[in-house]
Amino acid sequence: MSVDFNTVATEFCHFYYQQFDSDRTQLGNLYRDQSMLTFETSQLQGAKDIVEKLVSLPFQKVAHRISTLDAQPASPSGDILVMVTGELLIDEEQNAQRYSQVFHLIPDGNSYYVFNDIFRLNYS
Amino acid sequence: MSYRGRGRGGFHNQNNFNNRNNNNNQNNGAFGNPQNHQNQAEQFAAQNSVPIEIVGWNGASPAECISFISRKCRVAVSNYNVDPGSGILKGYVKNQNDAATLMNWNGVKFAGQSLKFSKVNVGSQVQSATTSNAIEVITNFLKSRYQPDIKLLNLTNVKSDPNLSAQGFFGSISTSSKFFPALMKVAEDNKLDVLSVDLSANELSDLSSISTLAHTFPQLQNLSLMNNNFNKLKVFETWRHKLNFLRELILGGNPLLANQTNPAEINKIKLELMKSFPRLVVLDGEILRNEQLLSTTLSLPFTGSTSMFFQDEEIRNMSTNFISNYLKLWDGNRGDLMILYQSESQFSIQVDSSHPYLLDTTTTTSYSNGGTDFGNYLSNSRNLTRVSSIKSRISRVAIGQEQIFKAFNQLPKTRHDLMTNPDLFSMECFRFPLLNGIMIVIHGSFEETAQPETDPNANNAQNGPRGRFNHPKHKKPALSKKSFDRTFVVIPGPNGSMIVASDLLSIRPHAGKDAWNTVAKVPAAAIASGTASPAPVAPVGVPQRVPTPADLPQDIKANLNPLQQELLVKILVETKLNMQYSIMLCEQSNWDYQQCTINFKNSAATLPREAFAA
Repeated sequence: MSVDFNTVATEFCHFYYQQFDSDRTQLGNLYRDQSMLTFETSQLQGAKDIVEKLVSLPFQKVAHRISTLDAQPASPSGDILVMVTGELLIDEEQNAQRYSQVFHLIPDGNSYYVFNDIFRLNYS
Repeated sequence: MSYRGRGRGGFHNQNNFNNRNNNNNQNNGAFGNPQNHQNQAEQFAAQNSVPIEIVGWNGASPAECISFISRKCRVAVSNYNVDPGSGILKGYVKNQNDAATLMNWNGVKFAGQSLKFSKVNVGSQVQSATTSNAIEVITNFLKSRYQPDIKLLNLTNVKSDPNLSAQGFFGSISTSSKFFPALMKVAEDNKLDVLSVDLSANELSDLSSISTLAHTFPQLQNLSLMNNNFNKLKVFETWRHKLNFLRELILGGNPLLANQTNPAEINKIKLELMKSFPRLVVLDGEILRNEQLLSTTLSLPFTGSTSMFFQDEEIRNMSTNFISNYLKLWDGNRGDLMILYQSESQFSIQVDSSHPYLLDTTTTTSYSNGGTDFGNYLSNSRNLTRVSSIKSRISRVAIGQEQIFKAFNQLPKTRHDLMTNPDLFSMECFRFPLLNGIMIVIHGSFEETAQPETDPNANNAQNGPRGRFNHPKHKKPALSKKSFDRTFVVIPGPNGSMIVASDLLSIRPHAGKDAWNTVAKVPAAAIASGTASPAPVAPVGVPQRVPTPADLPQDIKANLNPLQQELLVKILVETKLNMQYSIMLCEQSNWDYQQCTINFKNSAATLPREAFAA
């Protein structure tokens, strides 16, 4: 195995959430035109629309905390499926929203982009 | 005497619980005046006391005799008077102990005579109350302390309640420690609707005797623990995440905050309390956090969730078929699922055992442990944030039929109520272009019905010292409801069969369906109906449901009137354009159907491919 998909998945998630929490307008680099986002009720396609959606979410400050993360290689060409559960802290609240999220990552040159991103709050 | 009236006296300003703008509720201000308590205390003492009679006192005045007894026998006699008929000096001692002490002094010389003491047997039969009697007493007590109009249970200074004292409820510590749980049991049996509880002045220093409160009244909003002996923050751990609706807490008159002058420490206490009680807004009259923001956060800004998303109709048919059959076999006989897995198929699970923040009130009664025992899953959990060794990371992905079957058998037997209660589930399904397959993400809950076929902890237990960190060998984890997320990648196999290429399962504490329960039930019902055809991919013969405006995403529907919604659905179906382009077409055609068809015909050839639903 040339690239350890576990490491890729873990590093990707950390990077993604760090970017999301510090400046989510910059997340566009991680999506492509064919990328899809399902955020609760909304389905969006294309980096531009996805970032617009993420930026428009009704919170100023946000912090993601990963609780669990698992990954599997998903195709011979190096796709990776990452499934995450975690907590979302919104606007300095003490109470976290719990969520689960699935990323389908596709290799693109030396890096990966998000082909599909499915976010769902768990309300637990 | 009206106990109920006195209850009000002790808590006369109950509006404070509901008035967060009133910041002046310091100590006694909110809970009646101390003088009132003093009077009550005397009355209670009189009720509780034991009547005695003294003969041979008349060598001096009654006052001198009482004073003598106080000095000599160290027993205080109160409310004494001389019975005009018999000439006997009558009075009361504080309790049975004092009475007994006094009896031992029988014959003591006073003013040239021997004093004779005797108890007046009035309350002795009552003191040996039988159990049924006890329940009756508690029930009456509860009724006298409950104010249904404001849903307040006033449990101030319970020990001094004359009703209870007369029954000997607080004669010993053991009775008093059993008293509160018994009280809660009776409250539960009587289905008392309680939003506020006042437990002030009960000499409490921890929650051990009253811990059941959180179980009986999980919806409690207001709680006063004023004038008790709480001095450690740690004791509130008992109720951590158990009183998730608690809005106001009063801790005034407890050493915990009263003795604290360091602002940093006070802040720390507030923060910890906010963590333990996620909806706590008011502490001792002080607003701790923005309630509006809190309720927005907790009710979630993302409204109108839909439970189902399918990229297109074919995906809908395939995935609903797949899931309904899959879960049926998963609950029934997992061995039958193995035809779906091949040598390169992968399966792994991850366990998010962190405590849920919100109590699922529908399950608290039958699952008091909250479904948090993950003993059957932990040993196989492949949480990459925790599992760092390469060996474990590799061994915890089951690859191929044999390993996957083994992993399946190490999971508890389950029941997914997909058929009877499809609302409990949510799905998102997409094409997986590279493999010409589909990706299905399903969220929901299930009930564990039996222990796993094979013990997941058996292997590790033989691994020497590591075994001891696992679940105790003979103690099976408790079965309960759990929630899960699962991601399947399903690809076409030979002869129209299906193969599960990837299977990721995440197990977490039971959380119910609130995340998507605002939803129209139609799509969920569509899943259930999918079971009728066992063939994996069989769109033929399965009547395609005609979409209705109810299927439109909430955020889109919100901006459209019903006629526009109808038109949009029609356009979506007829043109196969995606949502964005369909809306665009409608808008540019002024929401006129004829115009839409003309415009569509004219521009269809020039539209980009992504304008169409995949």
